[in-house]
Amino acid sequence: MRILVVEDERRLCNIIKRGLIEEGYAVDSAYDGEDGGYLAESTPYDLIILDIMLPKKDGIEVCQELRKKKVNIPILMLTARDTVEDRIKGLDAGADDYLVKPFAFNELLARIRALLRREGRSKTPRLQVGDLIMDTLTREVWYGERNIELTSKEYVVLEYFMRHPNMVITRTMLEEHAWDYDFDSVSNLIDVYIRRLRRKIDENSKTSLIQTVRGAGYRLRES
Amino acid sequence: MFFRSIKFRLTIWYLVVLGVLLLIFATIAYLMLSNSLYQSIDDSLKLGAANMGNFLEMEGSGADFDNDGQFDFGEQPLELMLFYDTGGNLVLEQGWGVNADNPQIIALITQDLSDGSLYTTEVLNGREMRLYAVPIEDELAINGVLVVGRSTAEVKDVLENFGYILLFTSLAMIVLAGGCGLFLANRAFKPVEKISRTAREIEETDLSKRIDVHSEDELGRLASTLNQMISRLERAFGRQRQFTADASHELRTPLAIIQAESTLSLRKERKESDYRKSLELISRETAHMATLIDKLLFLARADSGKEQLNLEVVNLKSLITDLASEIEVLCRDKGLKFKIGPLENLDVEGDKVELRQLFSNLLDNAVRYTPRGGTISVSVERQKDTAVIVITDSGIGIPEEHIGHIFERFYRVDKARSRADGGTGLGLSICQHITKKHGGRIEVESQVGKGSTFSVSLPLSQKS
Repeated sequence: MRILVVEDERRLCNIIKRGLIEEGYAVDSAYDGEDGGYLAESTPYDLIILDIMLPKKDGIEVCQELRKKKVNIPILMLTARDTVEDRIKGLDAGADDYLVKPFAFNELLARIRALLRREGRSKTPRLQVGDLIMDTLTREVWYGERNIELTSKEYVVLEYFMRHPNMVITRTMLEEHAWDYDFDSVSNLIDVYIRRLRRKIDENSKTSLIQTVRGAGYRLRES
Repeated sequence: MFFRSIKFRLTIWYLVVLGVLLLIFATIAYLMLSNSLYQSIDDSLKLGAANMGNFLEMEGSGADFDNDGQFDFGEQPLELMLFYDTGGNLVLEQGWGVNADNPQIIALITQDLSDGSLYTTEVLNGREMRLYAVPIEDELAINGVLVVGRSTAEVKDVLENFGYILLFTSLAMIVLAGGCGLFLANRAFKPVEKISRTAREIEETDLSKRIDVHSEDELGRLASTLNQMISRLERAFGRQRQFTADASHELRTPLAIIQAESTLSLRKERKESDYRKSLELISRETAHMATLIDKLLFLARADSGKEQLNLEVVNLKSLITDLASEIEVLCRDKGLKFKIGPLENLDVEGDKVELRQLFSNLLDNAVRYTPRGGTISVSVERQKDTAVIVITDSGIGIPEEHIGHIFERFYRVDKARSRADGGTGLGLSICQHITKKHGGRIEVESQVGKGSTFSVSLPLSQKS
């Protein structure tokens, strides 16, 4: 899951970025409305965290423009403005949720999970594909009765597969949703992660849950 | 409501005045007409009496009238004629039947003889008559008293009619004038209605409304005066709202950082060095917030207008020298050259604490916005009756379009940079406030990339 944070207060932006990366999200950041709008248009983020008071172009405007251009990425407004009118204005501009500063980090994370859940099929924090179960709250993964220990990045890659079961996932899609702009796409890192996931999930089974679709990418089988 | 309105009262007063004038006019007209009508009766009686006198003289006392007792008055509008001889005996009687021995007439003729001619009005047989008695003394011995009379009924009728006409036209005029008056007053006061309606609609949160009255008269001027007042209020409220919004944003930002950092840090067990980093960050933000709150409180006190100045004679040379020692440490730390220019021994009258804050803010800014290797200088010189303190830096400078705004609260040329450097965006507005309060002026000259010069002029103390 890849998230864009648009916040002009750099120190706050860095804290959010640090916390989100720690949670396994891929995070990009922008410090003003223009950069933020540009990044949001050009990259298929899974979520955007948008401050309202931004230099160059304010968050409301950025939000409205994105919606006008049919960019339907969930937007979480994060702002110091807390009057009812401001919140209504933010939501009416096309934001999906609104969080007032100061905020507790856990709440921010919970709201992000809720927004991501809204996009997917499952309305609970638990994702299930066949016997493979993922609890996005505790970040635990089970295959049948067996608990699978994953690193943060492995978890992120698997989460993307589990949110899109039976769909062909290209390397570009994985790259765009699991890594931020600092990722060097020339490397075969994605293949490395897929191999590791297969080893951990399939263990001794002969057929793999994550199939290779020749010339296209990968697919997570339902059973 | 309506009966208390100026419109109504104005109309009533106007009608009262009109009524009084009409009454005076009607009374005068009535009296004049009445006078002139009675005068014409008297004149005709006198003329008739003279004619009758001539006739009697010509005919003599033995004048014979028609046996049927009719006397042709001819053209003379007389209705009654009696002639008594000196003995008081009725010699001649003509006209409308009146008893010759009517006591009122007897009284008239006996009185008349001594006083010459006499007019009187008597009610005879229920009919008001105007009588004229005149003695006739003739050498031919026709002596006696002639009484002629005429009914006043005609005059009374005319006067009565005239009275009614006056009454009804006056009433009609008053009603008409009342209607017109009310209409005109309504028209004249329409702008007032507009003004009060607009005033009712204006609320603290929405001062954008203006009174829609455009005329050159008094009400037009009142409306435009009120509009100007509303504009001033709108601007003042706008500034206040902006300041509150800015202040709340500025206070929330460090709070948000503290909250986010602490809750993030507490999510799981971390290394000691991570905790240390978090606490350092939180502590920095807390310090920044404390500074911000101090400055906000200073400005709040300034706005309330209740602050007190502890006036004393302040020696600028020692104040700047004192400050310089602190700034020198900062400069050395940042690798800046600090030059102290000519420091004249000048005294100003002011609050020492505030003046210190003023120069400390300016010097702090100079250090903050001057990159490593730059130079900062300060000097104090006398210009006529003022002391001029000049603080120059070779820093990043202020772009021209921002210079007009830098003394505004929370105005920042480069928001991100200023905050990262610990700036609050309030320092310069505090400087300006302190300077103004001391009767001085603060000016700035700046060139991007070359540096800025702030000059503060303060009036010299009269006591030294």
